[in-house]
Amino acid sequence: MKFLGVNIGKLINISCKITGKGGTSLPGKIALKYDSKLIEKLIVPIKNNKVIITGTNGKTTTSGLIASILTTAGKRVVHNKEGANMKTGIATALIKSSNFWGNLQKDATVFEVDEANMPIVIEDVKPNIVVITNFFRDQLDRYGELDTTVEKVKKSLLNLPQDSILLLNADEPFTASIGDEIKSKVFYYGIEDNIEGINSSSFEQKYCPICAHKYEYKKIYYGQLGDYYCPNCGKKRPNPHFKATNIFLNEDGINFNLYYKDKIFTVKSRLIGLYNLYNLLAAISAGILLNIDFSTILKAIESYWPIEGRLQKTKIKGKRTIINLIKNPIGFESTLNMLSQFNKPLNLLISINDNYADGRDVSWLWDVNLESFLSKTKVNYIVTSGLRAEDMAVRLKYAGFDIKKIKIINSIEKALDTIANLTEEELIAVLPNYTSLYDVSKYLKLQEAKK
Amino acid sequence: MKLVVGHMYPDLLNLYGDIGNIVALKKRCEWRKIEIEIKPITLDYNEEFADVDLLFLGGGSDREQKIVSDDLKNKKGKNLKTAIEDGLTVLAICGGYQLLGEYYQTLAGSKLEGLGILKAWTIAGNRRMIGNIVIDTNIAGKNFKMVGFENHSGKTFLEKMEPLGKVIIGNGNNGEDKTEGCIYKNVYGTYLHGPVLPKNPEFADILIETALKRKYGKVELTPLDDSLEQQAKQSLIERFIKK
Repeated sequence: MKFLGVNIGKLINISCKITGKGGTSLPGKIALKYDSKLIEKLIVPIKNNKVIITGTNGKTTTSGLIASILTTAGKRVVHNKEGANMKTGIATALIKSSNFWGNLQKDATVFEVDEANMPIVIEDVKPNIVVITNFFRDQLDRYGELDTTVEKVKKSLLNLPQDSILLLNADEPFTASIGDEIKSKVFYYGIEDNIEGINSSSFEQKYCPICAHKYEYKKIYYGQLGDYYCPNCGKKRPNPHFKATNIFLNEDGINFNLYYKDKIFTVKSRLIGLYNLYNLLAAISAGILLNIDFSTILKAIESYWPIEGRLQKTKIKGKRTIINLIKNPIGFESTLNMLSQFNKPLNLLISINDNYADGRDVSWLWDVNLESFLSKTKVNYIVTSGLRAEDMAVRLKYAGFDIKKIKIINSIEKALDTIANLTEEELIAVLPNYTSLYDVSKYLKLQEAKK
Repeated sequence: MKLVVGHMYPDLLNLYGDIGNIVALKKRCEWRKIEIEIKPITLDYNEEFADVDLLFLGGGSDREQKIVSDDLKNKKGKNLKTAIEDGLTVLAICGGYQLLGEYYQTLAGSKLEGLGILKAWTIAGNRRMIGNIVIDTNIAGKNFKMVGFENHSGKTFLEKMEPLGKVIIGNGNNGEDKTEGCIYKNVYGTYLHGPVLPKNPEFADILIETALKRKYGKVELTPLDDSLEQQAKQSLIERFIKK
């Protein structure tokens, strides 16, 4: 009886639209209360092309890229593209795509899944491919420690259907270790290039799973991603099936060559930053494993532009602005590094909330190497905003930023107004964390409506 | 004047932004033109802590905590105890704080021996105590509130030891007796992350002053403008203490 659950969900969805509240999780949440097996029931017609993406960073971009590849290939795709990546968000995406009889007339599903929701989603969705991007510290107060998260994900994969494929980042030791002792077929992707790595304080030491010795590195790309090996027992980074070489990164995008088997493909993308190279690599590898032809994949990649709040370029009161979500130390650092590479004077707005979805603990702001960013980048003003605007300001003070150039404005609307008024020639970078992004988007929509 | 800060196991114990404590000590000395050296104290350090004025010991995830605990018990513990009895200033947070106590009792009931410097013991709990914390403290003749973020499941109990403060919001040592942290000689143990020192500059200065006094006798720190830090603290106190 999927009829009842679907229609309850659909009704809630309609009422969310009427009240103007974003209904990305609520319809699924309520429908699942009526029918806890709703996801499993709705997804039955889809046999192939079921993809799940998990990991700390890059889930949204990677799943967006994969959905775009499948759509370009002519498939009808269900995708939780608003980033609602808990079980309830996945149920909502399926409900919205089903008709009133609960029939899903689609060919593919692409779901980004929160790490902690993996066990339950794997069981219900029975994916053909699971992509894991990386593991970093993120909202530790919610999940406990990193090892616990990795173990939880690894355990969830024991329930994968026999012919499912696991696609893993070879360069990230925690992710790659998931491929050890797993029955599914495993493919790895990674970088093989001499590009300059990013000096980052978000390094997470991994110990050899065989002999517990510290891993050492021949090359570090960023965080703990690189070419690592165990000096004691010889275990090393798995040899990637999909390799990125001849990498070229700048303000306009990313170019690289992708090697797979005996083939070389030239990839061009408008995405920026080394971390997006990994997202591209993951998505293209998944596309190839889904047997999509390469010209279609390339077409999808070249035209892909990130969604709201992910490297979004816009204008605030006519001033050039770039918006990028920051939600953990490595994401924050990667963003700062990218901004610094622009080599232009900046004004920043950093908005930090500590709502449940953000993680209550904001101490991670101290794990971000702001000192290094501020020493090599010209920043004229910084406005801090959100519930933790003051904490962010203190962090900046101790990173050596002139406190006379810091403005604390808790209200995000006022903060956005202020940064625009302070700006002359600078590029504005707005860096909100998770729930702050919602407020930033609301402001932009209102600004749009006033025009 | 020069302050040497020993940063214990910086490569192993680096949870929850605790590096911010080192940043705070460094900046607060630099702003006063006090020379400061941060000395990483790693597994291969075998000296007697005579070259260190202030020691910082944080917490780590379980595996790192185990490596540190073995190293302290087998190698550094004796020297550390001697230095502490002689008045070494120490800030120990979370796992580090627990290690200075007598033992840690696991859920299964076995007792892992600590350094026994503090008359305190910790019992593993089923409930993780996570959240913002506000305490009232009275140290070195100064009465003030401290704010932070706690994240621990171990419940610590003190025996005839002075707590660092009284819990106003949050759990503190054990969620039962309203005590938080522990003071013994110049050792300060606490569950406050946040990080605690930039959030509570008064506490940072007490540590700096205590450490310098032991080395140079009478020391008076130049007051700094802490209005930004106080504003941050006040905003949290007002938010969490419902009036």
